[in-house]
Amino acid sequence: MALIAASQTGDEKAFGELVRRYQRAVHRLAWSLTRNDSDADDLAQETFVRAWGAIGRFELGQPLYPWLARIVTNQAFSLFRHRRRRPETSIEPLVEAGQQWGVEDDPAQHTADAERDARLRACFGELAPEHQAVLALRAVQDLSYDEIANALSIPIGTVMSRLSRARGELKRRLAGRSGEIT
Amino acid sequence: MKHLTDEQLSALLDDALAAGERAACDAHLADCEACRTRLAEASALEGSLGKALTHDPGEGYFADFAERVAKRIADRRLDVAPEAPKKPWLFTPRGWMFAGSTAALLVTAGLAWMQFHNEQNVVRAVAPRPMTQLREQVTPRESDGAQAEPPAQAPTASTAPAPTAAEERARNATPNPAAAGSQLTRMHEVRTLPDGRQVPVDRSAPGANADSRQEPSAQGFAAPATGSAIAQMKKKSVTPAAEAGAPVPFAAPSGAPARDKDEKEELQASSEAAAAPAPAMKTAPPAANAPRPAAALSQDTARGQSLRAWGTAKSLVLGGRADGAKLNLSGLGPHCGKVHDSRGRALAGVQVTAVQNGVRTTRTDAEGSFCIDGLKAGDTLSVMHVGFDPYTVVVTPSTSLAITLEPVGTLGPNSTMLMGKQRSLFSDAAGTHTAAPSESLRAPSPDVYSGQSFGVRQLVRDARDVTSVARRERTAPRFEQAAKQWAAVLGQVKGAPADDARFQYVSALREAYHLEPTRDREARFRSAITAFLALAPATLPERATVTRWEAELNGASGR
Repeated sequence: MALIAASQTGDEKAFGELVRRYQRAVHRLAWSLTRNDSDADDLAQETFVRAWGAIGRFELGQPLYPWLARIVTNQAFSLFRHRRRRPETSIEPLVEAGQQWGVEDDPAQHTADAERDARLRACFGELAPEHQAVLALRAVQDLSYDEIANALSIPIGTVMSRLSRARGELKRRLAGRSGEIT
Repeated sequence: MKHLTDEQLSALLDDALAAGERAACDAHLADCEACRTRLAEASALEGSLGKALTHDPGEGYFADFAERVAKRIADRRLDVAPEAPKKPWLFTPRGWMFAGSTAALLVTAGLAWMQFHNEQNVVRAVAPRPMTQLREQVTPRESDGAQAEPPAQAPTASTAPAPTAAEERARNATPNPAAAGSQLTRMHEVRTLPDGRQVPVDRSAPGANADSRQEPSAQGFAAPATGSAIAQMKKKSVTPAAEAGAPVPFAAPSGAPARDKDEKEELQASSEAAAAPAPAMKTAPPAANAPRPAAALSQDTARGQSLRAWGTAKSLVLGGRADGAKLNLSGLGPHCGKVHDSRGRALAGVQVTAVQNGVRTTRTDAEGSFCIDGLKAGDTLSVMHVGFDPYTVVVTPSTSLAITLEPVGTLGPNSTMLMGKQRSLFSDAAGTHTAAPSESLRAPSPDVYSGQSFGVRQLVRDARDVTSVARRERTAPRFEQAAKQWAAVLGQVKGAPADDARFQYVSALREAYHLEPTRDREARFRSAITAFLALAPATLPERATVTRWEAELNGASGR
């Protein structure tokens, strides 16, 4: 709280401490939504840059992380929109091929686990952005429904139903993909 | 029997159901294997997803992260004081732009409507019998009375429904409903019908408008196919191991009648497998699956359903079930088991080592399953995974191979933090470690930090990560770093979480001292012990451990 209040008065040192405190969580969420190192790095840094620009509007007494998570997801959404408008920069083909940016391309290193993870990531990437966000906040960040509702500015009931739909959709896509493989 | 809905399963997975509904779901799960299987699959999928979407860029990445952010801020000339919240948005340049463009839009829309209606009225006034197109637009009553009414009949005389309808249309046509609505009410011509009622002139496709208004609510997400292919999977689950590699799609459940039969078949198959000599295991004690199905349920995946679904089946079905069964050491075949975390999620890539005459090592597969050859009574079995307390047990006939690992820093019965080094503690006590079999089926130990804010939980997570690294690297500075992290947690919490953090702090300092004993480390360790014993409640189980550490320390320094 004191760090946030200090940051609101322009204390860079205090804000730096906030960055250090939340950098892992923010990067984790950014990576789960972009699934590649360079985008995740960019998104994570950009989140804090924007947080610095908007910290004056942050309401003291509220939890900071859901607020940061909201910035991450909003940026990820605009990245998705941008990618959709400019398909030549889409990461989808790479994900489809089971490869990731920033990951070794040596086929020998693609163990069964890695293949399964890639398949999961690919199916996850096919979900609607709001489904990706809710799943990432829950499965990766382990946020409570309250916190997710706060981060995504949606009611708790919507968190519950959206999570259920997202999980159902993911399962269906995985099943479809498994069917293709066999 | 009414099965659990997808939403209930989903909420159950997150432990987010209200107490009453939770109890009802638990009761259903106790009786319904199909739903247990669905829950176990969902739990396994969730665990795999969490893992697949998690990527640790390493400490090096974070070392200068804050500096890079600072540089980026500086580059953008944002290194001035952050924007204060005092300015209402309307007075910002963006607010002005928005207000200006809205006003322009309104004026344009208003002019367009004015022009349209003027033209329409002129046409009607000039032509006593309107053109065909116009007649189509106007209802018979209106067309009959069209000539009689003056174009600017007093709007104040209009009855309630007419302006409301006009406003409704205006709402659909303009970005600012209130302003446009009132403007249009004035602009809109009202006609007097032969029966004396007054209606607006405009009749442009009310049906279409109504449709477009309904559209957003009609859109929404298509409901997912409910259920999963339980019956189908169950059929597969009794098929030979050779089929194990074939992925099974998760489809909608086919009818329930087949399920009962399949359940019986499966049970029979299971019991037959249990009777087989080499890899066989006895079924788990029934009492164990009562308290929290989610924990016990994940064990059911060991039957191979989800394994096949992922198409990564390997050794699991060779050795039999791992769901809490005890070990039969009569044969030399492979003994198979399964490793979960305390939330019931399967852990992949866990190193499992058996040591006595020689060392045999294997790793768990994607479903947390492993098989190890020639396991005998007296072997020391070690199960290790990054981020979790290592589990070590001297194998006896009652040893379970359904193993639950506790995250580093969680004070479960297996915690090395609580028990000291298990290997040394148990290696000379073969057969006495009886906690393990029930451990696999007990409810996951609640995390003392679960009620804390995300910030605190994040600190705890970091502290656990650093502790995990320290345990892997086993260097004193690393443990001191871990102690520092726990001290940070300690500064943020009270009550039971503080007791835990304080204990982790003492534990880390102890490790640091043991690895590289120095006077300073001893002093820090000693003062941490003193603080812990002064502050910890008398009933706290860790007191005994710390008291023992104190005695050890006094003994060591006395020598």
